[in-house]
Amino acid sequence: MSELRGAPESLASSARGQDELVRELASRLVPTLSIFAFIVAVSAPLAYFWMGDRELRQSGAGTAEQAAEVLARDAEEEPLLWRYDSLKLVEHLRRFRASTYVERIEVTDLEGALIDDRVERPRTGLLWISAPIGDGPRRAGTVWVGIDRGPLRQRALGLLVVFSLLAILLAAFVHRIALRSAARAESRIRQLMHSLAARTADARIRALRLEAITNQEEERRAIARDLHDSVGQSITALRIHAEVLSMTLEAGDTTRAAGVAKTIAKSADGAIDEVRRSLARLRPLDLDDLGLTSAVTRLADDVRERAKLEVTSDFEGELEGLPASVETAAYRIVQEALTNVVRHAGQATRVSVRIARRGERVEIDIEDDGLGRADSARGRGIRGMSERAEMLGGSFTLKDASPRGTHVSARLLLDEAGASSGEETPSV
Amino acid sequence: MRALFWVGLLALVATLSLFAIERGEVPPFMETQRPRARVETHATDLHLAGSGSNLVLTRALAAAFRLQDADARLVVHDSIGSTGAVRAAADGAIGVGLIARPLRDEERAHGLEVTPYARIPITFMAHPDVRDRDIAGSELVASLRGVHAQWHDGTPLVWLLRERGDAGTESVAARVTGFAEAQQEALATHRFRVLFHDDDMARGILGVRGALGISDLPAARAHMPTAPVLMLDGVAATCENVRLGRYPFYKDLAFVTRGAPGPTGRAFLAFVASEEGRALIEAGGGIAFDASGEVLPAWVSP
Repeated sequence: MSELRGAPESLASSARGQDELVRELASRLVPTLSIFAFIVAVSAPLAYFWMGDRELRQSGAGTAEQAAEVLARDAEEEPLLWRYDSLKLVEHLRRFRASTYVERIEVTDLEGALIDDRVERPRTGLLWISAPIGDGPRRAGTVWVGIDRGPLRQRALGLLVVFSLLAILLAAFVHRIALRSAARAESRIRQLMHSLAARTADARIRALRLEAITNQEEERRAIARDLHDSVGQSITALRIHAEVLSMTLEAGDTTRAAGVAKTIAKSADGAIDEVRRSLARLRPLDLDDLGLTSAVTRLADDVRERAKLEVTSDFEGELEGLPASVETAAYRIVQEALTNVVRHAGQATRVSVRIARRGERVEIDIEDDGLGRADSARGRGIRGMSERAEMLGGSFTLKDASPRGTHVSARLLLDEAGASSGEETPSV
Repeated sequence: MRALFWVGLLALVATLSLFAIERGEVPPFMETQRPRARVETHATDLHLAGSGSNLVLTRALAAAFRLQDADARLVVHDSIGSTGAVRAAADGAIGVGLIARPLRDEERAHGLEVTPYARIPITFMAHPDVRDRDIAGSELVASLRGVHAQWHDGTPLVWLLRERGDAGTESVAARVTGFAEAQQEALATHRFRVLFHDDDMARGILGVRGALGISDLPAARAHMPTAPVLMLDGVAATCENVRLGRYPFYKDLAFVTRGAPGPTGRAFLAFVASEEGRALIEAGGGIAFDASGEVLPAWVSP
């Protein structure tokens, strides 16, 4: 697709594209913030559990080693009866354990049998830390300290819940802050883009008007030259022929006088044709004579007859009484588009012209069923159509039609035409 | 929502990791239930073992018994506590157990025979450098709580505690208001050092400046002759005061045997109950129980 737009609309469209950037930023923030939230959620609870677990192991090892040290001395002094002496130590340690996490303290002999089998068998799930009673050949048994990590785990889980919520809140907060900042920045960018678009549009319109005035001057010079070269020559010839006629009549040669009079009439007809051609270059005469719809209908009839195409024209809304600049622009655009169809739209058999008024806007659409392959950069005629639309604050697009052919679309603004009606705007 | 899903998934992984951290060793008793090993001593010898409170008197009695019967083979072991004595006697590891407290309910199921033989005063012992010779029950409690833990000359008072269940400490706890709670708190908070043997207590009292500990009169005489035996609320820890009921802190010593003792055991118990044995007990700082039942512990049927 190839598209030509007015500068303000193009810039405004670029500004609207900023919303997509915000969405893109949001989508990229999600994985980053997810990782951030995960790290925040798990780091503290895991560190808490890991450090707590290490502390429990150290505490359990300390308790086991202290008990083993006492029992080793007993075992050395009483190799046979130390196990009975260990009962009071174990009973005491069970009751006044070094840590609330120490749930069980047990002593086994070398065969792994419990010294004190009076108590219930320990439950599963404890973390067991051991210390040997004596060493080497003097080893008598083992002290076992069973540690319950349940409370530590529950606290770590509690922390995990709290930190997960905190992480989600933090991530949401960062997400919101980032997007709001981006939205504010975009809003500012949009304002600047609109401002730039307006300035660009103004500059573009000034340039177009300057070009139009220049073209107008060139057109006037051409018309003056035509009037001088053709109409002026014709009138000079008329004057000469009138003097010849006078002299012929004074000489009484009526036969020759009649021939001269015919020559004068023929020259006058030529002069009239020249004048009409010049006037037509200033403004399509059919617009004044017939109005926009009939003038466009006549254009369509001409093309139908000349190029043997099926041309339809369709009009909607109140199209009479439009500003002259809009009428002329609409007529010229249709005229140029039909000319392009005849010249370039190979294998075209049908072309439709539609002009509609929608409020303060006139919409023009010309569509053919030719080969298409529209190229908006091609030709002065297309550029001329675009400039006419832009001059009136509108837009112009040229694109391939579906399923084939070319679609020319122009939008003309009536209020812009009214605003510029006070200036010297060309209407050729 | 997608972010919440991922955060939830990762948090779940983290949660599972809390349960996946290494579990440590697995004790053999967690895998299979093994029978408790039985200790076999020489059947020809009479092995005596038990509470350290008995040892001073028992060793003196055993030595005198050997003088009477040169063929008698008696072995008096170091302290294994009253609990150990009951268990060892029940196992048959020793011939005679020495206890300083009544049998507990679960211990009665072993069918052991209890033979009380002496009552000994419980003593409050101080480090030899301590000038104080008297201490009030309220001071015991306050110092145990750490409120006023110093002697009158300003020396810091350092309690040397015995393990929970020690007969001497429990006797004091039963008779001094607030002592049991203070002792419980001190043990739970690990405020003071805990000793598990009478000889450790003796070494501690003699070695730790400002030390205060609970022992008994025979041990005080035998192992801590230089350490002052404190009066409690103005009453001295003497057998006479115990006998007259003025000094309520004492413990009763007894032998426990599994069924009827063997010949050596019977002979030894007879010697303990003899005039000579009773005299040895009195000389060692104890009150010999009268077989006739004049003086018997409340927890033993005459």
